[in-house]
Amino acid sequence: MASGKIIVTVAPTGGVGTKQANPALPTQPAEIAEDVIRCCEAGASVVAVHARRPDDSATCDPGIYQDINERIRKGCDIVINNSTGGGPTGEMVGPITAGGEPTGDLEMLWSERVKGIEAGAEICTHDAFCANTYAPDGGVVMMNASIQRSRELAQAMKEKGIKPEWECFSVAHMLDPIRLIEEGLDEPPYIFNFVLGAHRNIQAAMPWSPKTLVAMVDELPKGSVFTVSGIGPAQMPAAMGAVICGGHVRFGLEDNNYYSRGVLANNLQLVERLVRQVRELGYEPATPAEAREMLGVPRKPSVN
Amino acid sequence: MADGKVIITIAPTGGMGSKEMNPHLPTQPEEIADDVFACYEAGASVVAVHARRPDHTATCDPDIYRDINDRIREKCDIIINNSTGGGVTGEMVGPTKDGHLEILWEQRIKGVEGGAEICTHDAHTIVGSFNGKNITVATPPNACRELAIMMKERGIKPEWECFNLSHMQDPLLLIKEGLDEPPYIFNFVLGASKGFQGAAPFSLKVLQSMVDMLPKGAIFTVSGIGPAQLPAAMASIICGGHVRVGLEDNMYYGRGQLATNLQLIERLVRQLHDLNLEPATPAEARELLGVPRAKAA
Repeated sequence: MASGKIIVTVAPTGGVGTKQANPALPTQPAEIAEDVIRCCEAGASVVAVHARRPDDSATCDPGIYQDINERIRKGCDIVINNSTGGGPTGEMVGPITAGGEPTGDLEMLWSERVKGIEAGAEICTHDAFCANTYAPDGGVVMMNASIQRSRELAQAMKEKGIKPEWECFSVAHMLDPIRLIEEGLDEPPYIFNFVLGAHRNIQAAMPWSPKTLVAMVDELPKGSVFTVSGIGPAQMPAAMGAVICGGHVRFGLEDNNYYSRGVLANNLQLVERLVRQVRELGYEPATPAEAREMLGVPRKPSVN
Repeated sequence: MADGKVIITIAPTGGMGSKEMNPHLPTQPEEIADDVFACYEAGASVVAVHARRPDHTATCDPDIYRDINDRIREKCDIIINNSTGGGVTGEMVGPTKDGHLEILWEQRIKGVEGGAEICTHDAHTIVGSFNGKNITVATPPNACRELAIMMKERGIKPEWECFNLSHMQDPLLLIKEGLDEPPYIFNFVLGASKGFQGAAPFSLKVLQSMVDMLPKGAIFTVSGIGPAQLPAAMASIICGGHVRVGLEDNMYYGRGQLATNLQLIERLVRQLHDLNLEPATPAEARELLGVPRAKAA
């Protein structure tokens, strides 16, 4: 809590949620931009964008990302993060093959995921691990980032001047990022996002607990900045855990659909509650300019 | 955050603060009772009482405790905890044979005679440094046991006060000896390192290590000192504990802005509501703490 400023990231959409589960979920470019601009006015300084096709299925299509990013930049100067995870639906998903033959198992296609870096985002997520995810239809979809793939993506980000956000669902997911950092593929400040409580959707993701968070904070390389994304009912306690450990917070419908038990939330409500809590604790939400400074992210030239 | 209820303890006075430091500090029985009642109405369910003489120096005089307790009980059914630590001034402090100052044991143990439902039990030895003086709070193992027995005989629940991990050791031994029954009440005081040698600073890691040492059937509250009050309160809640706030622990609402007890309670209750939690009522707190309603004085 060095500077007294907390970076609030809004994650408005995600790759998994549906309007059926929460009608307030923004999925189309205009909806997302409108929601993000409101959240920025309420104190969010970073947005974690996921893109969707017109049929709401997940995509990393740079054309759609670009459309969303431009609409957001027209309305505010929030720092833009585009996902290279996409989601477990639509064109993101394809068969795992062996010797050219489908094995019957599915993965989030690497060739689709890496398109996420082509749309002019200042930060992109980098999930440098392998994990099985459970799709909404009950199927299993592999997220498969070997060290070779992770290195390739880190190099591509470095060439484009994109900051990687190292996304970690457990302490083990920090190991490849640390290795790539040691290889010189990222510079301080290193941005880590600890996603806690996703164990219902991702195999071996750690449930939220203060102890788990402390263990992950202990593994951070010197010069890191971290944010915490608490999933579902873990959202509020994980946010408080992050702040008292000197970190930052991600909030939004990507991570949690509910304001309280049985009461659906919208993104603005979640950001407003978080900002209230940040202020009660004696801190202020960082502005986008302050967040850029803290995250080591230069302002992108306007895309207009 | 087991059942969604958080026990809020108000520590309105303490044994160290003065009205010169904060004019809102209640020190006399009527002031304390009025302040505690306002805090009770705002959501506090336990009060950690320290008594003061008319000249504001610290005391464990049972008559003064009883006066305060009676005045509080006339107004509300908040659970009453009386300190057996007293404070660092007045009759509480005296010289040892070799000329050192200590908080006198014979004064401290009077704290169990004022009719409280809970009394603090500082089962450790620690040196406090105040106004350039070193004052020892000496509680060797035999004294710890003696006080635990006195409390058991009077039906008083001990609140095991711990400034660091090692302060849990003697309570654990006494619990093993059968001198307390579940739920065991622990109070983790964190961030008192300016005044007390070896007191642990607040961090989530320190708190987690203390939580890990709790015996089965324990319930804990956290008292964050000074600027640690806010983060320690949140840390306690996310670790499944309860919270003490008040001017005993922290004089400020924000940097340079003196607080009142009521302001500190009101802020905590607002924070609980945003966490979808509720402050426990005194009746719920009695249930959680295993403290029967005290007989009317």
